Amino acid sequence: MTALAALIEKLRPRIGVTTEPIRIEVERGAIVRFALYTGETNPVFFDEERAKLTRYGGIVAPPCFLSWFLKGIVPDKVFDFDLALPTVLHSDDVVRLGAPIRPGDVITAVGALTDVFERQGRKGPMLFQSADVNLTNQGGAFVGMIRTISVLF
Amino acid sequence: MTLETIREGDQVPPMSWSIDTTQLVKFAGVAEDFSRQHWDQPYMASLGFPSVIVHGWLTLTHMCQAVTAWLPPEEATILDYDARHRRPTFPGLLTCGGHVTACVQEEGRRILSLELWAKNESGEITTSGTMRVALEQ
Repeated sequence: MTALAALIEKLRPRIGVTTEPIRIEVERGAIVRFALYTGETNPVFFDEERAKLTRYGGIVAPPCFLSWFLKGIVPDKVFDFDLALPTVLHSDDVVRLGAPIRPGDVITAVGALTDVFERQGRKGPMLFQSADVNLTNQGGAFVGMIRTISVLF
Repeated sequence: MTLETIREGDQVPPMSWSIDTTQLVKFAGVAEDFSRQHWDQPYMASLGFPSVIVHGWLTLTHMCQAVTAWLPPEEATILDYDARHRRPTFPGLLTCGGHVTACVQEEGRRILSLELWAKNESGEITTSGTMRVALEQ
């Protein structure tokens, strides 16, 4: 068995095991800073007065703000980066968006490892780990699903 | 342009950003993603990379901004998107664009399917993806 195949065997039993739900309160400043520091120019993402006049009725999070919910879940509780493979890169993302995320929302995030596999890359065999994170808001509405894949070699 | 006239084959007007390490540090802060590959130059050199790498989610953020600049959130809702990071994106000029691959009517709304790309300053596609956007009526 190759070294990578052994690692895959070690990680496989964790596939489908969900993390404890984590509740994260979304402060207005977190959305506004994300919008301004990434160069958003549409006020619906950072200006409450002008956002009130839009169909959203107030500030909503930009589409990639969802990535903020990965912290503390995917790198710490789902993926295993302690595998003696020095390089970790981001490979793929798949995102479905639901209800808009608004300041004051309390989002429940649940993550799980969904796949572990090997693929041949430009630098030799590479180990991929895939995770899903599901997000719901305080009203129980679906706000998003993120599938993110990391590659180690 | 009015949204009613958008057709298959139409371009997502390309937009460019000059990405430097200041942007990467800002993004690390707001995304709370402190992975070393985005700020630690000697660490990346030790792994054989020419420089730190742009966060995949920052590239994706700019791909989404190319769309929302064209189809503003007041008039269009992003339903889903995906991205494949084909090669590392390094700091420098980043250009994002794409085109409409399909336009269908679903449950009373027009849904556009887009193919999107992000290119580095050599014109190589570093990240490619797709997106579906519903046009509000």
